[in-house]
Amino acid sequence: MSQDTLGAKSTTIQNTRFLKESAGRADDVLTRKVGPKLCGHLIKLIKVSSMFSLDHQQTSSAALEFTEWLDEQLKEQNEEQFCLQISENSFLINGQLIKFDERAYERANVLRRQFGKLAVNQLTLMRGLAAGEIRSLIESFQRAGGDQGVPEGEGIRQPHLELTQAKVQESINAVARIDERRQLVEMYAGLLVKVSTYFQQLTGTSVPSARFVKRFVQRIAEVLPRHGNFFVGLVNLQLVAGKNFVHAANTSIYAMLLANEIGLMRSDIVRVGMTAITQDIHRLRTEFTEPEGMTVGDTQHFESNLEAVITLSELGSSDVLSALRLVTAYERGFPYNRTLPTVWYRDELKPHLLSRLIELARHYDVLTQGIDGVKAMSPDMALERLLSQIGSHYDADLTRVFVNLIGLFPVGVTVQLSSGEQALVIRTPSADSRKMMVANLNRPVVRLLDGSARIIDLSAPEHRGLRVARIVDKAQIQETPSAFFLF
Amino acid sequence: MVGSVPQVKDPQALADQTPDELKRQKRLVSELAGIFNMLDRSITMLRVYPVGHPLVDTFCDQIAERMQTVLVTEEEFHVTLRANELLTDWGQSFFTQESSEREQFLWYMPFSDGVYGLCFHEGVSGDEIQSLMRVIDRVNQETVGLDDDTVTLLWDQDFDHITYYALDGFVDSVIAREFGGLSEPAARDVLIEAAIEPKNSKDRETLRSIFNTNAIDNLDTFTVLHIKSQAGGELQNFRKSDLAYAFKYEPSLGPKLYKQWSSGNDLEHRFIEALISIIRANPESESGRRAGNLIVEITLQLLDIESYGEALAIMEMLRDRRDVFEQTTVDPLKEIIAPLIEPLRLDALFNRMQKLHDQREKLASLLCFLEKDPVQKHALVILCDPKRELAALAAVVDVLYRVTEVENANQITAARYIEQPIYLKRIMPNLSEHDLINWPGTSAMLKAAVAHESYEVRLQALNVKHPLWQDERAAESYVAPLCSDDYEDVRRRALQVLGKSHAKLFREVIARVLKKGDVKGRTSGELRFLMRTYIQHEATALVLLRELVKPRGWFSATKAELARAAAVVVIGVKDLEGIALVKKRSESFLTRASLREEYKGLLRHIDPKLLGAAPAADKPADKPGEQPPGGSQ
Repeated sequence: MSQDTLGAKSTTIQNTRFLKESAGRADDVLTRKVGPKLCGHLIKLIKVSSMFSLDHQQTSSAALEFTEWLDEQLKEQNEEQFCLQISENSFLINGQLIKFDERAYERANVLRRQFGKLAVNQLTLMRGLAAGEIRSLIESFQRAGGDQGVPEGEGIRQPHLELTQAKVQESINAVARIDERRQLVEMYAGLLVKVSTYFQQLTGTSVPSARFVKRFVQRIAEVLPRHGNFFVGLVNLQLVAGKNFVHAANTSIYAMLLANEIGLMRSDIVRVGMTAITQDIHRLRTEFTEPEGMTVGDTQHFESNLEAVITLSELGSSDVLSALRLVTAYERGFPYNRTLPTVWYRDELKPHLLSRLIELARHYDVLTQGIDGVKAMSPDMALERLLSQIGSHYDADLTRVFVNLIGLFPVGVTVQLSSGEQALVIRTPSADSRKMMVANLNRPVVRLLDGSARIIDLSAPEHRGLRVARIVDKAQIQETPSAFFLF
Repeated sequence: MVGSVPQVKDPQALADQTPDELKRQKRLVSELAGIFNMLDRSITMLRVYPVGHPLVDTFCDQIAERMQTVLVTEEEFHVTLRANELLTDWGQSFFTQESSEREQFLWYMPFSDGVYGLCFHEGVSGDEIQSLMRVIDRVNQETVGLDDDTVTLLWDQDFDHITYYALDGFVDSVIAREFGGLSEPAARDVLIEAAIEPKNSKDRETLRSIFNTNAIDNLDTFTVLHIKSQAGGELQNFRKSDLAYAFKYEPSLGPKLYKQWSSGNDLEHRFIEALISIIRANPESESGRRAGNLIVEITLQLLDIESYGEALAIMEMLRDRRDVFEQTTVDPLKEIIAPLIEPLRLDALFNRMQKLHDQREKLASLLCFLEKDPVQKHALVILCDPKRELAALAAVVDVLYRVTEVENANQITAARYIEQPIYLKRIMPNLSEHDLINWPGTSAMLKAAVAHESYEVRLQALNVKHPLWQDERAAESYVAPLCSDDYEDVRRRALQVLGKSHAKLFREVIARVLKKGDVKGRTSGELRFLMRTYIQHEATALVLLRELVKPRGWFSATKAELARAAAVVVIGVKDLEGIALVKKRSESFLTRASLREEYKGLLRHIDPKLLGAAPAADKPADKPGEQPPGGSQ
């Protein structure tokens, strides 16, 4: 396909919104618009009810206006509830600091005083809130202001409204020192949860921020050089599997491991990790469809990839370092050694290392997790599948780095030894032992799962009699190992 | 640096402060207030001046210096962030919303992103301060990308001397729907407990019940097809030897792959290609227009993060692809260049060129890529400013050289520049490595340089090999006067220049010097050099030298100097007639006593045979200038 023939075709592209101005980041809308407005409504209610009676039309009207506004906002923000919290220093909505302007901040102190009198600091407002429920809230405020008082810290509970006392973490003392192993587990768990939330937000209409995901990616990138094995182990423990967000997080771990091994700078490692996570987010939107019957390198393929770039641009950041990851969407579908047609690039280029790296990581993860119609494979089988196409579909050098990193029996898998015992792989054969010694490939360091937790280096001469017989299927694992066993 | 939890002072210990400690705290509070006041003001500068501008650099250096004065005694100092105030590590407020001159409290936004503490360590630099404040500014101006906030941006900076402390969120109340509606912290706890305590917790079961089906469904067509084709049946072509090959450990693989990342057609190049494809596909569409904007935005961002080489590569690519944009209203290259040639931006780029040694080449190329005239003008202004310290003077001159063309060559010798003494002083030493023969600015520059107050500049100008010096009229106007320069090196070089291409002029100049007795500043060695050179080039030279030997009586010191030199030379070249004259004057009481003695001294060292062969002084030599066999300098 030549570049000249392209212009008349891409109707899809023409109709696609590209980098259309969104309403801003979802969390910014929450903290900058919804939060201040929510406080504004509550203050208005307090003031109106102090001037008029509870039954007065003005009060009812203000309550109704508030509930309608609230419902609308919850729908728009794709949220079930707004949780307003007031601490000594801050106002928070759904856990994030409300970004007031100067005067609004001063005005909001009216709320702080009201909450203070009630000895509560948290107001939860849920979908379906009725004007009648607001009435009980106002009553509480009025009682707090009057002589009757309310039991300290008791608050109120309605079907769609709760006024309670919650612990707000605002002090540096709240962050405790914890076991490093636990910190690593927390990082992986945090990544999974944040990616799941991010993906969940993407299915709606908003353009969510991936900043919390990125924070975890950064933290993992920081510790990866020392604890890469541990993260492979966590992936292989398969706490959760078979979900888009898990696939994205795992691919990210594999891809960052590769990037680290290649020697990329830490910011590039993060870029690789974020690329892995966000590579398919446009497919979470229902409006994105791929044409049927396209073949690698044809016009449809080009247009489809271009549309992916456009949609991803809309969802992702236009920040330079983030935007560059769209290259993988542009190059998607090409085997490593196939030159992209000149409609892609004027010069004859093969897929960029970033694209190759992500492709390898994601394929390995898909093979080990399985998809509809394809059963999950054991890691050694998945590796063999990759290796069967080394040099044809996958970059030979990159694949070799990858298999040496992961190993035939990766960290975290449970294996059965020739003696019949089950054991957890905790180290793949070291680089030294790998040297010219193919026989060592199936001789990792394992920890017995017989209750003794004994560590056995199968490559050591004294254990020559033992070998890995097979990888144990998840359902047949006798004792699910703790992540701490990986250390 | 991302910090682990800082040590918080024991309240009891704080209560038992000694007077010295209280004094220290008072001093520290005052210093910190001053420092953060400066940081507050730095934001204004960051908003007015572009990245890399010298004024910003200087101001941030001053802040760093002020911090250093504290860090000399403290080693490090902690600052706790609050919504509307900053606290010391013992909890004392030292900078509040009210004390800030800004409408918006600068530290509110970082705090809202979860940053609750900063720590500055000994060695903190102006560059680090600037990077920190750029992050704070971006967050306050809301120019942060979707993937970022204060915490991620601070991580990117990878500070050596600034640590920050951040919370993931003040309260995690987001519902993780995929986790059965648990809140985020609860979902995380389930995962953690399931990983750490799989036997004793119900969390594994919880997870199993939530995630009981495989639902990876956002894969692209090609991946699905490929995975399905891989999964089907036995592996046909796989051999154990493949396994051996794959696992053969080669340390060179990493560096080899790294090279692919860092060189060749990089990500920026490919991404811009993708955006150009969008424009090409639908030039007048909204998508095309936005793609154009994104190209501009990304290139300017690359410049802001000092990826000058990448930015330049994009600009070169856009120039090469101008055919794509010819039929459209989109012209990203024009939009990129427009802000870059504003004086402040140019100033910043030139300043970064001084600071970033490893980026100099790229910055010079970038500047030369822009419009020639504004870059030339800026280079000229910088070169003329004596207050401007130029660590990479050669690079600035190089840019000037490269952006000066026939059309703007007259600018480099405009009076407003030439009249600044420092201008040519800076340029001339750094022009020598360039091809000046074909440079349109050379002639004008050389003409100005030979008249410069600095002898070094004059000398450098004469040292330039340029056709100008072969031009008779130029030599007469600009070189000949330098034969009487106050500085010997200049005079000598001027004579060499003349001697090489302008023999007649050369002779005239020497004759003029000798006849006029122009010895001011000249050493006797130089006078002798002139005389000997004159002999080589002028047949009647010895006649003049003999005349110079003759003076007697109360002649001037100048003439005595010339006479002495001439005597040495005629003796040196074994001019018998001249020797006879020297001898005669050495015996004459009309000759000044001191000169007479010097003549005698000279004669004492002459071969007696040669002295005997000298004719009578009043007899003319057979042939003027004739030298005995073997006679030479």
